Amino acid sequence: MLKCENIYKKYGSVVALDDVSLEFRPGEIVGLLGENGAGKTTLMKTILSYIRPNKGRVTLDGEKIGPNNIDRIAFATSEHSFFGGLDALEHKAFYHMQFERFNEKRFDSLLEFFELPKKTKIKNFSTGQKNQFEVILALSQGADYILMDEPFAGNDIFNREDFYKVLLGILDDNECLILSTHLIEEIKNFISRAVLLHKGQLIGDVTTLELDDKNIDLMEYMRKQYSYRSDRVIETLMKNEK
Amino acid sequence: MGKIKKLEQVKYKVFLVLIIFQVTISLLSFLAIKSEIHSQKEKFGTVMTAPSLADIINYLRLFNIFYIIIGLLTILPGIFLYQYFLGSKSIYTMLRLPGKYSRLKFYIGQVRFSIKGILELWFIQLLLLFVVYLLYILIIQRESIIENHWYRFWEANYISMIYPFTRLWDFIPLVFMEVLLANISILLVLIERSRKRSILAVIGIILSVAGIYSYSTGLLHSLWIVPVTGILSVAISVFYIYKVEIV
Repeated sequence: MLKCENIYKKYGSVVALDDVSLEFRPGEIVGLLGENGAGKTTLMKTILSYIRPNKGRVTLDGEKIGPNNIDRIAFATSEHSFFGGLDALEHKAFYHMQFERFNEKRFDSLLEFFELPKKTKIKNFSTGQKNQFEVILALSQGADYILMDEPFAGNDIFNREDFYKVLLGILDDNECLILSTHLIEEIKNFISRAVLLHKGQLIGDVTTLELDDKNIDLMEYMRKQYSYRSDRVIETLMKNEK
Repeated sequence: MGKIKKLEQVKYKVFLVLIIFQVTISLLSFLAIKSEIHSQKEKFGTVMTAPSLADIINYLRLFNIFYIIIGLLTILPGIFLYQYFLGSKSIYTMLRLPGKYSRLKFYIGQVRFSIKGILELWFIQLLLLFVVYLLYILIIQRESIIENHWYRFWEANYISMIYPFTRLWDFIPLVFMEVLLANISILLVLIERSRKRSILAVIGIILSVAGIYSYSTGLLHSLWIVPVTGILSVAISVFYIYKVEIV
């Protein structure tokens, strides 16, 4: 289990994460949702130990994240973490060498699925192809917890939809996917749990089963948690009435 | 480390081309000298003295090419460190590599490339000197070679140009000098990577430059000035790689 306990992170005077406590379990597909600056990326980077929190700790099966267990977590980011000067096959060789549980079969099949060239330097890929390759690497690393931060920014809708379907089919029962995105409508039928962040605070944590039991749609749940005011549109329009 | 391996292969090819080039040039020069001596003897009946080996080597500019390569070898690790370890956001991958020393291995890999290259270079230069000397002895007529040619060659101090030390422990600052040079390029990369936290890296560069300057100008005649600054400079790099938040 991946556990975040009372994570508090401040950048200057801005609080990025305010006492956030969360648990992620194997088999879950979690949507990490929130507006820009809600703290989604900071939370992911804190889990990966890229950023040190001011308070709180992250543990994986009771152990602090460190060199002995960091390979159990994979990360795909829209910032891209691959080596631009290498091609797909060179990445495969590198990952094979570095990560004991690298899933070669998955890597090859996803490369084929996205129809990505094998011997072209990744820096020469289009933005969409780069995103796809980033996701392939994260899924093939052999990690138990796969973190994806806005992985499809720049990809077309057909590509994304197909990918969600493939993803549902290839993920093992012991793998946990944590997906941060703005595309809520697209992922609402795909995730098993939604975690809501707002201005660094955890404002919602619900499984889709709970929502189904209550007969509430994810969007409706989000509106409620965000205290969304639908009347503000009318209010503004009225103020500007010609 | 695939790129480093490729670079090693390129390096050996460059070494081979240089050896072939130097040996060919030496061979042609000696043959030209031999032919000139021969024609002089036929024309005037006197035996002309061949130029000394030291003069020939000086003419061939044997060493300048190698020193340029040394310079390149020193810069390259930094470039590769940037491409692999810190370049763009690939740092995210590097920070996720399993094992406590995986990142350190990459760092050592970069520095080792430079030091190994320089040591190999010294060996090749010495080898080349003996090859050129052998060619000189074999091609030039005995009577045209000046007396005590080997001693004169020794006097010209060419060996010390390749191995600039007279005592065994002079070797220590020389090795650390290469460590310092390689590490400066890496520290420069670290500054670029983490501008906000670059003060420490700047201190590292100042220390390294001070160490090299004081040793090479003889400002401080201590044998340990380069090793000490070298160790401090490397410690700063390792500290950056492990402790400083660079994301």
